[in-house]
Amino acid sequence: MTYFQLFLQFFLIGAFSFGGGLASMELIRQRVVAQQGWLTNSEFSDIISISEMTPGPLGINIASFVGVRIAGIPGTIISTCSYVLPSIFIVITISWIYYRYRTLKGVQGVLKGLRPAIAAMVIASALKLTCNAFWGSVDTIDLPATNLVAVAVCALMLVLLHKKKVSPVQAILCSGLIGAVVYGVTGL
Amino acid sequence: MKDKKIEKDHLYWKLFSTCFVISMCTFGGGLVIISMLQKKFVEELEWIDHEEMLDLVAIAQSCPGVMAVNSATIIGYHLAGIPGAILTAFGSILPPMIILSVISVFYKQFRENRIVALILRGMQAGVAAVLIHLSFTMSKTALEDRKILSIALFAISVVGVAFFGVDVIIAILFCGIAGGISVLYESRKQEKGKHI
Repeated sequence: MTYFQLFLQFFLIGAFSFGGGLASMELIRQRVVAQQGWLTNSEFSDIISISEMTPGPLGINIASFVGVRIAGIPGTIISTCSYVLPSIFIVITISWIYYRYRTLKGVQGVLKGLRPAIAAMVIASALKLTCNAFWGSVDTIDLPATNLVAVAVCALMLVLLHKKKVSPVQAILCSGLIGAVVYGVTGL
Repeated sequence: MKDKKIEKDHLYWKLFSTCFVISMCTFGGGLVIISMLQKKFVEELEWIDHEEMLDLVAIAQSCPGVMAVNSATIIGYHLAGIPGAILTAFGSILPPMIILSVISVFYKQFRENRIVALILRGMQAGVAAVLIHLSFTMSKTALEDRKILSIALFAISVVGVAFFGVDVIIAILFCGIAGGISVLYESRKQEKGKHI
């Protein structure tokens, strides 16, 4: 049953992951964290950090990590393979169409239509993970208990990302170092 | 033709090993991997020409899933059919699968280390910042055509997904269908315009 759930969830995630790594985080979070409870929100955020620092695409990293935790080595093989299966199938079909008709017009139209949904997805995961970083939970906002260090680091990184165009990896690494020093020194 | 047959094993091995090595050594996601694939298959091996590579990348970006794996799959399919596609896809997912499995096994010990825990805690704020930043750039692209349809779809999706926990898959299907219909409608309108 676990194997089947792993297969089903990651197959669905793979089939609907549009817009690349971070964009599909909410799709993965809804299924892996909210519905199945395979990871907590903090663990999920950890995996994003770890994934940015190890080679390989984010989605595959999450699939492999969750697979091992839930059902060992067979689990990771099932989750990772079922994650890429839909795209392999779709990619082959579309390349076949492309070599036959040499046009991708219809496909591009649908894709443009998807943009609002993808943006909504990113906003949702940004909200959830920001709440998790600031208040340690995704659905309770307790203003007196705000983690001010996290707020300050987050604001600083936003400025760096926007003005200095640092890469996500650099921003995450940098916040890790600042956070470790501040939390370590103040003992928070 | 005879040459091709002899080289088939070599081709399969080359496809698999190239994708394995590129996937193992590449940090920082999709576009970096695509430029590595391009360097190898277009410039070094000259198995694919520049124009074709651009179209292949466009297909990879249009398909769901991981762009890097998609590009590798298309290259494999293009050069050696379905076995090629499977080999390149497998070659690119194997390294992250092995690395993350190892990390997963040691995650608990790793997380319990005091310094690591502090760093990861600090990184949560960084991840939040990266996602907030991406939210803005993505919203800008989604709304750049300034059409009422995009704005409406955007508003409905944001409220639904972020505040009412609507399943992302439903939002994607909804927007995809609406986008498809509007493209059809517009192309029909254009055709009518031509006749007049």
